[in-house]
Amino acid sequence: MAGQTQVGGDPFEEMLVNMGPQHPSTHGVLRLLIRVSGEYVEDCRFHIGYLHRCHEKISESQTYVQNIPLSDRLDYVGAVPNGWAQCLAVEKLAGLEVPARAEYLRVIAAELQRIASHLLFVGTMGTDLGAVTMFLFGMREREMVIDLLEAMSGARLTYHYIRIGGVARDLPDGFAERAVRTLDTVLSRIPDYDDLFTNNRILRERAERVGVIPAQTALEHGFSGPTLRASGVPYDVRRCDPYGIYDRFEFDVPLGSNGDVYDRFTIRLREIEQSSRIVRQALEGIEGVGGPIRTPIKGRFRPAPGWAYAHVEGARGDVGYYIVSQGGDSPYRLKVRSPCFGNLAGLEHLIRGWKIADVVAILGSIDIVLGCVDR
Amino acid sequence: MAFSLPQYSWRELWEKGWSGFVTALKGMRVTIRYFFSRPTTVVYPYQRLELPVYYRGRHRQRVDANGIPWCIACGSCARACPLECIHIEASANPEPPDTKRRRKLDRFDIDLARCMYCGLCAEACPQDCLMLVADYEYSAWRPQDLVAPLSVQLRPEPLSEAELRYRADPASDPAPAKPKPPREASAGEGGEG
Amino acid sequence: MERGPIESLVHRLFAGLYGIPVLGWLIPIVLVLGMVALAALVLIWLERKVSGHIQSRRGPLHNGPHGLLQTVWDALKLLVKEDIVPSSADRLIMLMAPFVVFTPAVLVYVVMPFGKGWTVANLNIGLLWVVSVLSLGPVGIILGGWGSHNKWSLLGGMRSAAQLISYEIPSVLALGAIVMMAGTMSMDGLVAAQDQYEFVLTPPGLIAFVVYLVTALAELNRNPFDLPEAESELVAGFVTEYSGFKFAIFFLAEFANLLALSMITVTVFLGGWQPPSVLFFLPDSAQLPGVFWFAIKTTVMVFVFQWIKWTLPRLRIDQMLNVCWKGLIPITLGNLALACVWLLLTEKSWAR
Ligand code: SF4
Ligand code: SF4
Repeated sequence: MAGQTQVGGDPFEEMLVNMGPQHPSTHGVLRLLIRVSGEYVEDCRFHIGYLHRCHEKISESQTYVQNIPLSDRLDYVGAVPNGWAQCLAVEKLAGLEVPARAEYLRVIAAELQRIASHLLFVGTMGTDLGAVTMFLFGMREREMVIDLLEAMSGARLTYHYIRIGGVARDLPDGFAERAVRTLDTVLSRIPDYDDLFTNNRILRERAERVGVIPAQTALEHGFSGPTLRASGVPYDVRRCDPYGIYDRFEFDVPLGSNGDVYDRFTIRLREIEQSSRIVRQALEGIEGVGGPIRTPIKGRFRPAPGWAYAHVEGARGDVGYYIVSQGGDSPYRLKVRSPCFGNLAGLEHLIRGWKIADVVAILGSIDIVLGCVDR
Repeated sequence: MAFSLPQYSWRELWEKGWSGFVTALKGMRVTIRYFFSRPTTVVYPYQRLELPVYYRGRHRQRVDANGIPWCIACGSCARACPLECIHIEASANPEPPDTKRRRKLDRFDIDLARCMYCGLCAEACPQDCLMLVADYEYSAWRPQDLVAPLSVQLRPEPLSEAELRYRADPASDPAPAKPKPPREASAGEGGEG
Repeated sequence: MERGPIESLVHRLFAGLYGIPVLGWLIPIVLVLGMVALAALVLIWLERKVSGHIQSRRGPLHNGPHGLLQTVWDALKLLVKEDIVPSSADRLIMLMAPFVVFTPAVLVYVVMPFGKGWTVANLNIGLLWVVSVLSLGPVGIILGGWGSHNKWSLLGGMRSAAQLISYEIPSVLALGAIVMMAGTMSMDGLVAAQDQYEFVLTPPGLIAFVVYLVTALAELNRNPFDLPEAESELVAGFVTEYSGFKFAIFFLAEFANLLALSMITVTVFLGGWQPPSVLFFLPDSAQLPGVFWFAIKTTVMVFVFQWIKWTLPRLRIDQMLNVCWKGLIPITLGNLALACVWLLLTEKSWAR
């Protein structure tokens, strides 16, 4: 049959299916070449780079300040932590201090962003598994959290909130009450999610014991974030290498036990609860902390020659920025450690032996953003 | 390649089937509840959400009481822009309105199709006259129609109370210390805007 | 055989042309076709509204009152769209497929009792006709999947084949229990057999009803059994390459099927056009025309199908087959036995 490429094996049993880059559930422009036997995946190869925007190279020709908004475009549904990582690296390089109030604001923004991102994940997991209503529910609650972020930063997706030496602007009036109210609403909807989706037998059949990543494999492939923690590895940058003021907050790091799709799904639901705990504590803590929200930069910003690496816990894992300065206006080299790329790396051998429907589920559970993978 | 299916006992199958039935009913209870609850969506052209005053939408140039922009054609905004979407051409002003505005703008185009609304230009402006406002309805058929000349950027109305409060916060101002925008003695708030 | 109002109307109208019986059938056929097309448009609107409100949205709003005309414009848009055929597709098969799906969906209505005596043809094997005609639809889906020469379509077609062949069996077995209890296969007979109480109120009838609901979902390719057109997995399954008019026909067939299966469920399990027996305390309810009750019950069934669709996630293909072969078929076989016991207990004779 013309158009059907045979890759070894029995030509009547196997076919090569091209999934993406324009496929409804590859979460962007990922291309998977899957060799299937009936519905079973025998082999799989990934092609990435469709969204490559030369983030690192562009950064070398722009000033440090101009680079910050670009970081929002990496992981565009979890933008705040990217900017934080970059600012942290630049601040290390330049030896800038961050005012106390700005630290609180950064925590609030980053945790709200984590909630928003995980809500989107809950929704997309729904569409990947055919429950479109879950998608809209996830989006609905995400919108409410995005409204908070919009009130903080003035934009809805690419916030450009965290700046070198502080944050862009202070909280608007009445933000604390509004935020607590929104978080209460979001948390009160989670039992609905449980009834509709999480505890649904069909979901459990689809997700439990599917796409299991053993802890060892996950570590070997450089997984991080909730995807790694679902396999039972207690690695959270907020705990293991505290940055900002995370050592002041009380929160749990939820851990999974099986490392299957279901664990990766539920762990994010539990992280939403933990993040909202942190936001509440930060909103209480910020009451007594006044002062400026940004350390002014004097003159032209030219950090001393040297290098710095900083990483934070983004919504999808460990976001790292490595910046080398030669004393000029712009970095000599900027390297991003993207969590999605690491998480995606192990997938190739993970989805072997599962069905096409499971490929979608597993890919969805890893929660990649192609902007983050391709940079 | 050989694959094997999981084998279930009849008992397991029964439990799975029954719980499937029950959890499906539970899910249907949730959906029917939302079916009868109020929709959360906003019917956009007829209803609008309220945006924060510092929402980063399109650019505006503040003008003084005579309708002349406060801009001194210094070019800070164009230099601050990461995407180089601001184009400024200026010439000496034969009759300057004040000592600062010795140069007048011949061209001040912002390529809104190229802009990423980061707000760096507004922060760099020493006059505090370029600003991003909560206006997002300016779609066009062609990208070249999105190049906004100075004439469409002028903003005659004064800053609102909320905007003033936000902009008065010195901590939120960008790095270089900047002079206060010139103030006309008699005009009061109108002069400010 | 007694003539219903439509039939007698037709006979009166065409008394002069009686030598040409074709004309006598023409009007009911046109009526039914028109009703199906109109109902499909309304059902699409209803589906959008139901899904919208379930998801805290509003659904279509702007064209016509509450967006009622939205579907009409959408249909017009589909009709004027370019009809794209992939260069390597099998043109004839690809063209045939939508009609092979659509025709059985309409043929079912021939035996449907819309009201008392409102049947185009009262076959004495009505239910058998329904079952056999409905099982033709999958052929069209497989044709479409094969003919469009797209791997996603092919996978969708194959899934559809596996699914529909499997689910025919429990569906027929579930209906079998009802046929045993009613002692007839004629649709009118089935309705008449429910003049005391609906079959769904008897234990075997209830089990058969639930099983039939599940199999109907599978036959309609709706969640949790929408595997042949699983959007997130197979792009659009067997309709991936279809556009324009042919796609519109597929779409129409889907909703014609939805309506047909709702009507069959109503006729077989819920007492057809008779007023619901639970409303016996309302003596006036019997005064309303049968078609009114039929419409109400059908609408409720359509809503239930949509409600289920917008609630549940999708099964995987092996799980779907497990549900059928290891779940539904044993249940329906047991249900047949239960129906026998029930018949003995209620002392109904085998042959009426
Ligand atoms: S908002 Fe940013 S991208 Fe747009 S003109 Fe200003 S500096 Fe340039
Ligand atoms: S920075 Fe302000 S004053 Fe300078 S050219 Fe731009 S708009 Fe005019």
